[in-house]
Amino acid sequence: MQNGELQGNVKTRIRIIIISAAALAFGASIFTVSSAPNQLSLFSRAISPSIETPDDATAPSVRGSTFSHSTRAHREGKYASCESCHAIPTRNWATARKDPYPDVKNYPYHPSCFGCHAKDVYSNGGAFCGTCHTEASMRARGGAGVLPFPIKSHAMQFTTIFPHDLHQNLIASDTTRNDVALGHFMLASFAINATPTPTPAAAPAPVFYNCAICHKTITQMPKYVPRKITGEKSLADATADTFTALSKTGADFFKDGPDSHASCFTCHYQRVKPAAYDCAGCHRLTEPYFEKKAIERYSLKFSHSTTNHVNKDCTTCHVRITQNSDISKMKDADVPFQTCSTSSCHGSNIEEETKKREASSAAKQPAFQCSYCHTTAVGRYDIPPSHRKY
Amino acid sequence: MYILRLALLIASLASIGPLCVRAQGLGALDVQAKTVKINGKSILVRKRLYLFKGGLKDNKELIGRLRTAEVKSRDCFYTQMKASPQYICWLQAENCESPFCRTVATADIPRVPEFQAAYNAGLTKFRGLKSVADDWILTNMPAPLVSGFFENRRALTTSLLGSLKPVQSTMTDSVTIKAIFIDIPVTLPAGKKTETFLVSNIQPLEFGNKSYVWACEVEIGTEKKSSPLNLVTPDANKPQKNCEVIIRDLQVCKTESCKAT
Repeated sequence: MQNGELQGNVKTRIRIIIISAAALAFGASIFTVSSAPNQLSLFSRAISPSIETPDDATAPSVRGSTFSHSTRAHREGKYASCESCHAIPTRNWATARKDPYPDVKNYPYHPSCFGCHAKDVYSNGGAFCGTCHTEASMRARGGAGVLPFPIKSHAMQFTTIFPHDLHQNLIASDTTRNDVALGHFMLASFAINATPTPTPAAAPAPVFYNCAICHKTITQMPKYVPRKITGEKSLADATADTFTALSKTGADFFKDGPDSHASCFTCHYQRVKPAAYDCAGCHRLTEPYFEKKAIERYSLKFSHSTTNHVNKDCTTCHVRITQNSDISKMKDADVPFQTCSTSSCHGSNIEEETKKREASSAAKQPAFQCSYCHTTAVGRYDIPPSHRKY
Repeated sequence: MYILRLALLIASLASIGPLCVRAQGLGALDVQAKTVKINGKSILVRKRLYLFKGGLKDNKELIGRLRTAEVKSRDCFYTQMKASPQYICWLQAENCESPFCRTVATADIPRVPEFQAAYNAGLTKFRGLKSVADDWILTNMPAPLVSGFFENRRALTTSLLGSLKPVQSTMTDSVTIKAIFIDIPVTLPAGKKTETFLVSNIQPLEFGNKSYVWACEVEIGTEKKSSPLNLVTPDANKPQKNCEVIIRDLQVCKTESCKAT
């Protein structure tokens, strides 16, 4: 019996020793640093104030909230390169989307954070972990325990640099496309379904690169608002808007734009610069901002899909797009007034409305509200100089 | 004597005055290019046009560079890049300068060695996903065959422009074949209602075995829209007023004959 108790005590002690050794080994594995250049010893890096303190007042706090790319420690030194934290593609790229393509679809792995923040894991109840994990504790695990990436409710921290002029040059063909222009713009630029119609000989028609590579007709009604007229007082209260069958605002009035890397990476994933790993080739740090959810329009009566619009080239009206070298400098979709007013299609309608406005002013009657292109939110303001010149 | 002095003063002020007062404003110009046809086809479709201050005489150095520029044809470029005859034929089929001109159809992949190699590389790189390997075919092709010709032409444009900075540039569209310059800063010389500008495509346009460059003088005012500039088909027997059209023979690089597809 005594021998049995003794044996039991020894076994218990051995178990305790093994468990303690395992615990020590586990602890050491957390604190030990790998040979990767961006991972330093925990003990050599007590968190310095400069790391935790954003160098500008607008940068959000790091701890347990939105990660900020704009703190000095996150944009200078060894973390200046995006690659020091972000892998492209991430391991989960093939499963993270319904239509997968190689992309950054997950947060950086622990070594990227623990280089400086290992101590934070053990303080403040592990709130730091909540930056990426749904379970803010040491028990957090990857996969289901991680917040969706990217977090859509967080402010954007980067702007995108996209030179339309360069891409317009690139998609310009060598010679004429007159024989296919109608087809290519109906099928690939404006139509909702961009699939080319097979010719009778079953040879598919060529699909030419054009604006529709990135801008497709919207199929579901988006949020939209009339563009605000700033710095002017309206001439009258808004009356009820009237629409014709063609001018009734519909989903096909609008075009979308890229909201992911999908269309860019088709050409720029590798080899063609800027390649996918060169984040700074297309993105620039900026003050955090939220993208506008609603499409703003001066004319909510313009449809891209009517017969006499669908057969035009996008650049017939979006004239300045071929000059634009930085999308962030565009203030709107930018259709100069003269592209509508000087055309044989709309010139007379616009002239007629201008005359009605002038007549109402001359007669000191309530201002005529322009309604051919505009809803009253815009049409009740003074005629701008751009409309009077041509 | 006093009257004489006063008259002299007025005369001198009258001569100085207009030199000092230079009205500034914004102008606009339409460039119509629909009628420019070579062998019955419009060639100025979706082409970039540049606008410069001054007329032909003011820009004679630029015109000189345009006259003597060494222009490498599309076929010569791709031949030197050791592109396969099938690839060159694929480009020729729709008069494309680069594969950014039109999408690579699934049927094109086995026909063109470069596409097949890129597709195979994509399958390996993109975890066997056929859709990605197919859609992203360009990203697995050698860069010189994808963007090389564009870069070559861009370098040519840069060298032709030299230190000269265009006021603006814009492109013709593919339907009306018209280019519109708007918000042009115009400084009216004394006593004039317009300022002289030069419109040119700078980058030689390749058609057949020849290259074409237009350089045309135009007057732009600020009060109303200027008369459109009509570019015309070059005619050796009929020089166009205020325009210089530079036509040069291109070096011919022998490529294999392409079957009609």
